Amino acid sequence: MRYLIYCFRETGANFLDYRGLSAVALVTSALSMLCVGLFFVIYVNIHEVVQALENEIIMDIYLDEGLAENQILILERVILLNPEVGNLEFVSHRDAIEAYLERYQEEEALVASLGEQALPASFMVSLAPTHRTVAGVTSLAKKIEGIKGVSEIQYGQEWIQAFGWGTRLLMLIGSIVGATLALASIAIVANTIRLTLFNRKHDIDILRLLGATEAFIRGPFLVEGVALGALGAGVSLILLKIIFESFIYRVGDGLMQGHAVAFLSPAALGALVGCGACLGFVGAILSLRPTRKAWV
Amino acid sequence: MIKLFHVSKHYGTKSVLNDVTLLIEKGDMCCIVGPNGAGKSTLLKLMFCQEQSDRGQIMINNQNVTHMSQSAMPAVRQRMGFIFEDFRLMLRKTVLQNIVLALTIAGTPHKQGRQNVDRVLEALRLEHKKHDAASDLSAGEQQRVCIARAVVSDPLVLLADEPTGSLDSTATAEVFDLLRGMSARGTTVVLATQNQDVADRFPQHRVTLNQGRMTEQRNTCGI
Repeated sequence: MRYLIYCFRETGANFLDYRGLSAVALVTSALSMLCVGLFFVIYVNIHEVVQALENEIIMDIYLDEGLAENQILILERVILLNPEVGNLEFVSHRDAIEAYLERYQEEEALVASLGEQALPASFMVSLAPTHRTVAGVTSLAKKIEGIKGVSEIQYGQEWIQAFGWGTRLLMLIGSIVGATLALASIAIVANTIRLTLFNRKHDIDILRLLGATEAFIRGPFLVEGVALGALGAGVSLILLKIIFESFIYRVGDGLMQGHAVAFLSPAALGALVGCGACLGFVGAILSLRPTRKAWV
Repeated sequence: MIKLFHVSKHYGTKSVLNDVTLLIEKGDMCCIVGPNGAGKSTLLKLMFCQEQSDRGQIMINNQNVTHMSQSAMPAVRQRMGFIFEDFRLMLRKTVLQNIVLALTIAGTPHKQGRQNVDRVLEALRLEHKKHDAASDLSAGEQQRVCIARAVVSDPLVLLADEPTGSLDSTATAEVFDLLRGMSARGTTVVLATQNQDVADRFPQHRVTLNQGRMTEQRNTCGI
């Protein structure tokens, strides 16, 4: 307990004695974590939209002209055999025309001129909850497209795939930028602690003379690294919240197709602070690694 | 108990200690006296594992510390106290923090540590200075803090290099009272000084060094 108090007191003293250096490390660490946080917020929201859209995926299976009633029934059973299918509804020529005219009343004359079979009959398939993904709908489409009596399948595959790609690309860019900034953050924390170490050489010599172990001596510097990382992450979250409230929230709501833009969950906030602390810890470990020869 | 067998130490080609053999019993108060450059401080540093001897063996509390590894050193030093001639205080810390540091390192239980701190602060008249930064103290006060830090954890062996060099006669007397008390409780005290008046306070066991050689040993304690 006394040692813990000692560690925290030493960390505080180091912050105060080298406040300029600590402030630079803190700001750099905060900016790095802010960039990571920004990508994270955008990714989380886009991912939410993709998930919501995936839940709403409806597959329209258009049937060949002139299928008899029993052929339609057989087709229905064949489609229902697939585990991806959650619900299936038959839409006749008449139902299709009625639905079309409900949306486009001005086209009534045109539809009337084409006759009763202006629009093809179809099955409207919604996916089972466990298969409501891009992969699930693509798999089902592949199974059905070869079946006799099916003329065409539509499920908005182009935009679903584009959205999926966009999310993955964003994640990739976020990972690369995040990793680069994390490395920068580690290097800055490591250098800050190394400078503190050199400035504390006199005190470290005294500690050794008093019988302090290497672990005892390193403790406060590890705490300093963790504190720098965690504080940097904390500051970055405050900045992120400000940016979110003043910019992302306003702009994002218009772009998110009716889905509310959300800030990070408490768990994600905790994870970011933990991540910052881990980066600081790694930085401290790196600065303390070549101990004896470097700083005795 | 401290045993030195034929210990020699050189700095380059210069011989600092030459074939020193010495036995200091547990609870003994031994004074090493000699002029500047006699090798007194080097002898203490060898006992404290701060330096390594070129020849000979050094045993502290039945443990051979002659060529001790870095990792084993903390455990040995935690059982020893050292009063440094140049004090070696952490100047940005307070008197209390400097003293408590020794207890923190030794892992002394909080309650016992507190009693020890109060005792040494009182014995060395430092209570009113305990919250002052070490950098704000006079040389005499810094020396007393250094002594307090060395004795606070009740070490088995206390090594003192000119422990009263910056103290007035009253403080010197108080420090020797403190050291005698510790010796009576079983701490082995080894003191190095060039001051004959200080050496005269240790009539029982006195070792005289001159140019690295032990020229005289008077021991009325046992051997």
